[in-house]
Amino acid sequence: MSIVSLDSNPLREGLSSARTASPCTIVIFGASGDLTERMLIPSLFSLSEQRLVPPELSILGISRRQYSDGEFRSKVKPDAGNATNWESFSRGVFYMSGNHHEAETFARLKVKLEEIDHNRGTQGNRLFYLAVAPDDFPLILSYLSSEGLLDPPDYADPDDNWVRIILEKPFGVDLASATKLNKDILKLVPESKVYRIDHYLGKETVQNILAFRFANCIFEPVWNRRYIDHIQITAAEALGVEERAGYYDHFGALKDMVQNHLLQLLALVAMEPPASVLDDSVRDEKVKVFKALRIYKPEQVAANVIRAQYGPGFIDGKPVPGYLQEKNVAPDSRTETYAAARFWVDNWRWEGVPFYLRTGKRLARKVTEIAIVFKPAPLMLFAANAGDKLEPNLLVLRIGPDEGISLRFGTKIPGMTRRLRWVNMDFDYGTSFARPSPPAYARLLHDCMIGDPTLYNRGDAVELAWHSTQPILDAWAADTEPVPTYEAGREGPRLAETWMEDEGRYWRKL
Amino acid sequence: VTSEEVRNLLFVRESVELDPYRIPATLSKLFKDFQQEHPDEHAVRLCCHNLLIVCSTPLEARGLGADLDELLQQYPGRAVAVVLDAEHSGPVSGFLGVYTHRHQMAGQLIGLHFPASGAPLPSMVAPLWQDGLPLVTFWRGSPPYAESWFLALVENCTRLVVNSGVTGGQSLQEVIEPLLPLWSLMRDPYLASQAFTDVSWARLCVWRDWIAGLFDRPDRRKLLPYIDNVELEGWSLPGDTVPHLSVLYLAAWLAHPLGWKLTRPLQPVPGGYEARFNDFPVRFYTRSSDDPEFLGRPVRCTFRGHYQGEPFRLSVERDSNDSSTLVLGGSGPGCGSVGHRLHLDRLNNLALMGQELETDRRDQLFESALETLLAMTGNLVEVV
Repeated sequence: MSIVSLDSNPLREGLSSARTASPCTIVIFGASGDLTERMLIPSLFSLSEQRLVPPELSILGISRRQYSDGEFRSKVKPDAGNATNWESFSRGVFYMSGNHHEAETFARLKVKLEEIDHNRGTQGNRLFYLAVAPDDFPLILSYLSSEGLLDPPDYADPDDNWVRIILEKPFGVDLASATKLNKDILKLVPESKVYRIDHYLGKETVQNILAFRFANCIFEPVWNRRYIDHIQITAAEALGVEERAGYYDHFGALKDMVQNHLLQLLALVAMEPPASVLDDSVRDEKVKVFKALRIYKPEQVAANVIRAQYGPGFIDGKPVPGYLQEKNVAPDSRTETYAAARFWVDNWRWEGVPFYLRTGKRLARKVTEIAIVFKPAPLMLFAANAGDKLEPNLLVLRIGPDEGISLRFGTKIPGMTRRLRWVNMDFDYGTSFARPSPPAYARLLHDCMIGDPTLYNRGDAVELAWHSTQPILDAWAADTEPVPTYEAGREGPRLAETWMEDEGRYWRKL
Repeated sequence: VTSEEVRNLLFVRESVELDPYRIPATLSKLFKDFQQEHPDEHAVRLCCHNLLIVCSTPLEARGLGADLDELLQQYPGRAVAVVLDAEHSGPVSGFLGVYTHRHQMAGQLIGLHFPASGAPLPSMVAPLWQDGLPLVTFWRGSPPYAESWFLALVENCTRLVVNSGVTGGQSLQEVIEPLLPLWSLMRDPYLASQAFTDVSWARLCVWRDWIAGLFDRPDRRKLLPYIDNVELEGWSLPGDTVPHLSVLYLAAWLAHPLGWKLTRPLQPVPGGYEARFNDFPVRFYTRSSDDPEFLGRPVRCTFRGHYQGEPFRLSVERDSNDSSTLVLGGSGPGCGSVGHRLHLDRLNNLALMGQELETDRRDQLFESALETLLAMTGNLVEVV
């Protein structure tokens, strides 16, 4: 008998699939929803085709609708993929009709999970994916707890087996609700088992921010208040509210984008180097950024945050209605479809450097990017005329579309003059690597199955992010002035332009 | 073959004739012209790697054009494809094809039809490489290990990929022969920063993946130390009496991570060959096929053993009716739930080249496997 360490699979050494998940059952609450069909099952199937999950992986969908296993499998079958592989994969896809507001559902769930463990060898590893309204999270967790489902079953090996919970966003609708939700959840289950998902963090280009900053030593020395003038984080969409109008009208741009996605990007840009990327260090450093975010007093909000609603206009040459004319939007709605905010990170690195965040619907084009605008050179050696101002260096991290990185710098135009021209050095993520980026949900589901929470939000981070946006929501709730509008298909409200111009800065063109 | 025929083998899209002795100057002009044609764009050169492909004979260049074309679209870089031709008595002929992506110059393919002796080759290609980027050399056919110019090429590259298993063999020595000079190169202290691999090994990654998958479950992982019998089967050409190199690699790979020590080298036994590790048998069987495409592909890998007195068996094998489907089977403690059928994506040449372009360091597993393989066939002592 040979003696080798069996803590991990020794045969995985050197393979691209080194981080393969152990067999488990993924229980999806709210399984009849769009997310299961559009994101979760295709992501899990693609992980299976890449051999990143074991063939024993089992999925159990739960919702009130009546489906047989076969009907559910047909409903969620992805368009892409190999037929033989789907046949094998789908044998592990099950459905159970049940109301998650009723205890009886969970008693049946327990029996079903034991049956799957027995038949499929999933060994009591369970991942509960809660794709339901956040108000229902504590209820589901309390029923799971009552049935003893928040711990591996008796027959599982306590050293090897696990139970984890993914909570789909939104995590609360304001600071009070998020705090209460955290409190209610953590009464039932420890933070180490809770994975709060923000699909933005699963995007390859978002993860690349850390690699870019901390794997290259040429950027970090200038990544501070001494060299950076300001930072712009933009998430613009050309689309309107579409079929999400009912949901969106209760949320608006600040809650839908700024409080979560854009503040997450800000944290990745502003954080200090983590001690490791293999433990909780990244999340610790992000929390430090959120703690350093300046909290506005109600009277400071108007000067630092702008909101607006899109009016009618043109997108791709076609007329589009204004927000108030959209279906399922209240005709007197004051919900913002555009938000721009100036945030300050009050620490040594970023003192005096504004972070401008903007997001909006029905803007000129779809773009998500982080622009690092450096300070101009201290001496205008190459200015053509006295008083000329040179453009600053600019580093743009393009999250999408056209994922990549570009750096703008000045170079001398050949000839007898001293004239400069600004050129962009461009790195295109898509053309530099043949391998396509995995879908964000695939990455995040896989991380959860292998027990890596780095790309998930921790409870304290979520509350701190709400803490910095709550005063804005409060001030807007108290504001009776009409919400400004902007023409659909344009750069946003004129107010946002003048707001920047007054500071001698300007937004990047969309 | 004529130079024009070589051109057709290497290029599936437009190419121009190139003076092989003025390549750097031609490339320099190419960039200037490109910039002039796109005055409003900030043109940059997109380049991720340097690639040298040498075909020992024109025969080795068959099918290369389409693979290279796709590769250069997916992996922007500079590629030089050289066809050595014993029949070619004239001067070196050159061709150039250009790849662009939006406003970026995203790759150049330089084709050279070369006389059989490649002696001038290192000096011709050295000025072409983009500084600071990896240089991967693929050798199609039998590499001229004994030639000093071959060594000069190897010294310049970051990764050398050879294919030692293009044919089967009648004797073990015949199969192992091509590996001996490769092993010598790998042990050369002056080539410590070069990485090496063999296509027969690189292709095994899919099988290694599935075999590893059998033991992902912790309860099945516990069986690993109790394996006391392994059977491996691979396809060979009719008449080949010894196992193909790739199947030998598979056994040699298993030995290292599982800590198996060779206790008896490979010997013929009824129906196949057998080596012993930790005193248990690892048996090799061959299945014949006329189809050269099948040559060297593994067919079956079966593990047997006893755990707490109970026998167990785990296997990965091709479906007998559909060779692109793998069946994972098992019996015994913790193995009963195995029973999956999975589609097997064969690593085609393009994917294989891409995989090698993305690898940037020495493959210690390959080196260990090669060492074990040589020991298994009784060749290690001789080489050392």
